[in-house]
Amino acid sequence: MKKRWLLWILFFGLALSLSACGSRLGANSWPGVTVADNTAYVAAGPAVYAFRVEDGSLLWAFTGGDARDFSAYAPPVFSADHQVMVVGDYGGRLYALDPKNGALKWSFDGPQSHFVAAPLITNKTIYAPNADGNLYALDLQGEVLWTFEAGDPLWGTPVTDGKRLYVPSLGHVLYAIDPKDGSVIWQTKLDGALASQPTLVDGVLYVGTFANQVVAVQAEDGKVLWTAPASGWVWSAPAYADGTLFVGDLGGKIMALDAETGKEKWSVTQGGPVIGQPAVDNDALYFTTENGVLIALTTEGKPLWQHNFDGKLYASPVVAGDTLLIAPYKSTNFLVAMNTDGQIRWTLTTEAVESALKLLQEKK
Amino acid sequence: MWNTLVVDPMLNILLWIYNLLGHNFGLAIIAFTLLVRLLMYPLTKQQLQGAEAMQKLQQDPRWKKIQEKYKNDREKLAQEQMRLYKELGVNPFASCLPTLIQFPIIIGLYSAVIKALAHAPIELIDLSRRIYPFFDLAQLIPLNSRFLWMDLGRPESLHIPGIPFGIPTLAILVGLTAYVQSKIMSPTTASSGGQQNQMMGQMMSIYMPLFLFYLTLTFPSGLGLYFLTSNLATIAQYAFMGKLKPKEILSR
Repeated sequence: MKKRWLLWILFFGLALSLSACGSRLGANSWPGVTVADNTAYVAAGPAVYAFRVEDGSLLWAFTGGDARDFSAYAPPVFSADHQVMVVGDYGGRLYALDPKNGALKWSFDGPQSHFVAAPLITNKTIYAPNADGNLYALDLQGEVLWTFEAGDPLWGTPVTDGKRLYVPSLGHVLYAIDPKDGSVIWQTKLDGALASQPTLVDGVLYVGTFANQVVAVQAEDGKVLWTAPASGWVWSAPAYADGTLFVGDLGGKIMALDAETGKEKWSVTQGGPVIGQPAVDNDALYFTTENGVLIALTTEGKPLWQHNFDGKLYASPVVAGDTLLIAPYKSTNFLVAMNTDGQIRWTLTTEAVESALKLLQEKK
Repeated sequence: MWNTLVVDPMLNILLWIYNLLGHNFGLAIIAFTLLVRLLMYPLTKQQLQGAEAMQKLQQDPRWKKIQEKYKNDREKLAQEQMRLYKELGVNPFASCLPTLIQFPIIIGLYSAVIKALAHAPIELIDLSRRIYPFFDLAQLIPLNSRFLWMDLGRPESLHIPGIPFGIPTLAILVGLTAYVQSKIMSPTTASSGGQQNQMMGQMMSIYMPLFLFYLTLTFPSGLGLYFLTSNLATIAQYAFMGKLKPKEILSR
């Protein structure tokens, strides 16, 4: 009898343990934030929210319509006329919404994996990279124009100079493709995975790689111009201002590099691992770090101020006029608006946002 | 502590095998599962021998006699059972202890497979922290999670032309092999103690396959591949020890 109970306990213990430590399809990530027309659009798991930047009031929330297990983390992006907002989710669906009220215009559900990165939208075309290794080109009505098969997962948003589309892949390759038909113009194999949108300045692409490097690649032909070492994985591409690149890595090093030569101008190690791209605004740099510290530095690397948040800061800081928006991960705070001097203007707690979402869903 | 001692070493071995087998995650999971089963073989053997000794003991006339004689005196019955265990040199926990030791190994293996299949940014950052420094993880990423028709990071379903929905072949195979495995492992005796065991065995042979079927249906197929390999390894192990008797299994 005892043995029977022991086995039952073991069985249920195993069941519980497997369920508890498992990661189902609903893999999660950090929130994606975009600001447009005085509104902050936040993709944070089960919903995409629109908040007024001025006071943080909730304007609307989109929860995937009829889709089950909607979960979106990539920052929403807009068409040139701001009539269409596009957001991809982890179920492999792309949604076009009306930015005014969050109403669904159309959705596209061909891809087989997550939309980790935001799409790139030009005048007439949406270029949406998916973790299934394909870049989907759609028109603004959601019709597929062509598909580019990279093979390896695409986690970074492409960038364009009008002539070519530059697509980073986790498979260590930076592709230049023809925006008209998706044909490859050139491809350059680097030493590590590319997980974010390249920075394109004056015909040069700057990328961070998982081989602990920042690399400059000539946009014309894919030639590597220089490689600068980092102290860990470089998740995000550098931010650029006045001939200098600013970048942080997973080793916790923040550095400034000469954009022409890749030579280090200065570096500091404080805060913790850096995932997001820094924001540059009026001679100030804002870095978010994994251990929850927001660091403000001058462009010469001198400390201005820092603020500690509970939770982790993975998402890049977003500057909207004189407001700095921070979306922590696994925190009691959902979205925080600060002045650029570090003073908090308003805070939206995770609890309040979850309650508001529940209310909205009940109303439906 | 748990991660440092159990999950991380398993994860690193799994990735080492992955690197060795030409970046094929499916083969790595199969080889890794077989390696773990091989290392656990002495325990499995001990468990089987213990279970066999218990079954034999329950068929012993003296065992049946004390069951009958002391059926209303549980304390005395327990004393007499212990005396008989000692007399015949049977350890009642011999089949239980190996099961207990296997438990954390199964959970650890499961966690290692799931963590290695990092298919979202947070999971990849977590993976980067678990890999030992001598590993060049930058070269291994992105891990190739494709195996046969499956993406091991996603639940499996096989799309056959003409059928409008995907068929969860892996989940079905896992369920079937789990059923066969539990049938082989369920006790055969019908003595009073054996009846309880038999009843429990029958329940386990229904719930366990259903549970594994559900897990494979909803979790990344890398885990289903681990279940399938593990089930087949157990069945093969029983066959190797001459315990696989199809007619007897079908009649239970």
